[in-house]
Amino acid sequence: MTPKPRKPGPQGATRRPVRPTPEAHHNEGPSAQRFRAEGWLQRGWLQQRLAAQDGLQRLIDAPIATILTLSVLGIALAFPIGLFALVDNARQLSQGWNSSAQISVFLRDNLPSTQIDQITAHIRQRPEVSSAHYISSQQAWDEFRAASGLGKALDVVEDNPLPALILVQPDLSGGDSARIKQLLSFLQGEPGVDSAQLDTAWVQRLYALLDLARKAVLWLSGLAGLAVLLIVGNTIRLMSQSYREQIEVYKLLGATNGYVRRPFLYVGVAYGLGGGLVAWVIVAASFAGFGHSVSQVAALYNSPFLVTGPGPVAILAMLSGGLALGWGGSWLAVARYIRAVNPT
Amino acid sequence: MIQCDDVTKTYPGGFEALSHVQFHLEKGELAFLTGPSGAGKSTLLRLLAAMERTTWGKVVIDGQDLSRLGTRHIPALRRKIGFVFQNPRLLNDRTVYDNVALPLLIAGHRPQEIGSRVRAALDTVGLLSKEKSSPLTLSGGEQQRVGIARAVVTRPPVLLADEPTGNLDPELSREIMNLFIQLIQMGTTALIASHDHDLVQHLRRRVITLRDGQLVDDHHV
Repeated sequence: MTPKPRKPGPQGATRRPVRPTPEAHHNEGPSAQRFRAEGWLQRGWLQQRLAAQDGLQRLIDAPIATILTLSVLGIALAFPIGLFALVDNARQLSQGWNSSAQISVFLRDNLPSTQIDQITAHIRQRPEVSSAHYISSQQAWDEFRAASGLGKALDVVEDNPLPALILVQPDLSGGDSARIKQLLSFLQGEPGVDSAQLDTAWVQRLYALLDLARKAVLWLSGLAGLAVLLIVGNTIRLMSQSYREQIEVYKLLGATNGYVRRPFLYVGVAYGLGGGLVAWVIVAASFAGFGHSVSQVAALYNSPFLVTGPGPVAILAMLSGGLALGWGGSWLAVARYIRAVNPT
Repeated sequence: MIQCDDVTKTYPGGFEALSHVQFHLEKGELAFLTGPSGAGKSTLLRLLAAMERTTWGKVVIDGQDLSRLGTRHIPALRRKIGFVFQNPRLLNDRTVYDNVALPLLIAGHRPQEIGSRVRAALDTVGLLSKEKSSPLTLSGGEQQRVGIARAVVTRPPVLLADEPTGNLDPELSREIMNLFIQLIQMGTTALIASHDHDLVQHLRRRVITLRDGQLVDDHHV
């Protein structure tokens, strides 16, 4: 983690060849006066730019340490983001199963068709219903005869035993099982309805599980964030110790604590942002690698399902989170140390 | 410009490094600080550089009372002072040019505007040709001169030097002293600790002598 001595190179000092002009030493040129007239904004911007250059230079001076740290940070950040994307994919996949999560509303026998129309219209009005479809007892019987393959054997049955029903397709986009329960009790209370049955209680269980998984991933993200904070903090703490002599000289020459701190903060920001980028590459590569296999499996189930990597919002969150954690970690590591180091 | 009133510095354990030292330096004055080693010359310079605080008495630089100066204001004070250390304390991972440029960058100057000043300072110490070298490749005397260039590049109102010519041959020492005198003529106030008796006598300036932490002599040669 100790940076090697820097190759001779300027800290933001340009190497533009300037002819030595001894009189400039005794007489401030017009450029110096112009500089003073400039506002604090330009001055601040200049200081930030030089500090960022200095910070990046420190990373370049210790390439192996930098690469190792970035890899560790990348892996730490890749875990929560990858898992988030995985849970997201599972949710998307299970949304395709909504079609099987339908409610069969069995009607009483011999309802007049006007009442049936009324009930169907009433059900359709509910916001949590995406569609409702009436099947008469005759239609049901015909479908059953065709699908069962028993054919003529069923002719023995004289009366059609099947009730008329309305197939209700709930809107599960919210993934909220409480809403479905509410819908179910509403349907059971409708006049003319004999009973209402949710065919797939297991979908509810799946949603509950996915919800749990999401919470677990959130918790993991918190831990990963803490890990990033500590890794950056410790790395920069070691780095600042190897810069002790330089910090003393800077302070003797009149540098403020902020001036000395700034390059270290930029190192932290670079670590956080770089770690985020590495994590992005890891996650994208993993999803690209596994995506093909998943599609193959899905194809065997006649499903067009495609895995999708983390979306732009997740990526942005990962990068900005990395940046903030890197900055915070380096601040925690160096602020007190720099204040404590005094020239001797 | 530099004012010491009844300055006393006692270290933990009771050792009194400075005892009731009193003198004033006017703006544009140059004084030598002499005395045997252990007399308290370095301690006095460290007090003037706000590296330590007095136990008793008052140190005032440019109207600022250092014993009352908050930590926040120390950087601004140090930007007014050019230091020349016994050990030049150069950054060995930077070039000579970058070492001399450092005080100007810390003061907030643009890198592209300081080239002529840095080179002029290097020129006056005779090291313009070495601007791209690492300090590690220079001799002790050359390193000392880079330190001097770094101290004068901002043309500070106050110059403090601890044995600035300790590693230099007599001819170079005289040139460095001439550089200091040039600065004085531009209004800098300087206090220079030196063992070099001949040089001090030759320059005919004020000499402040310390012995065992006490000011024993203060006169113009």
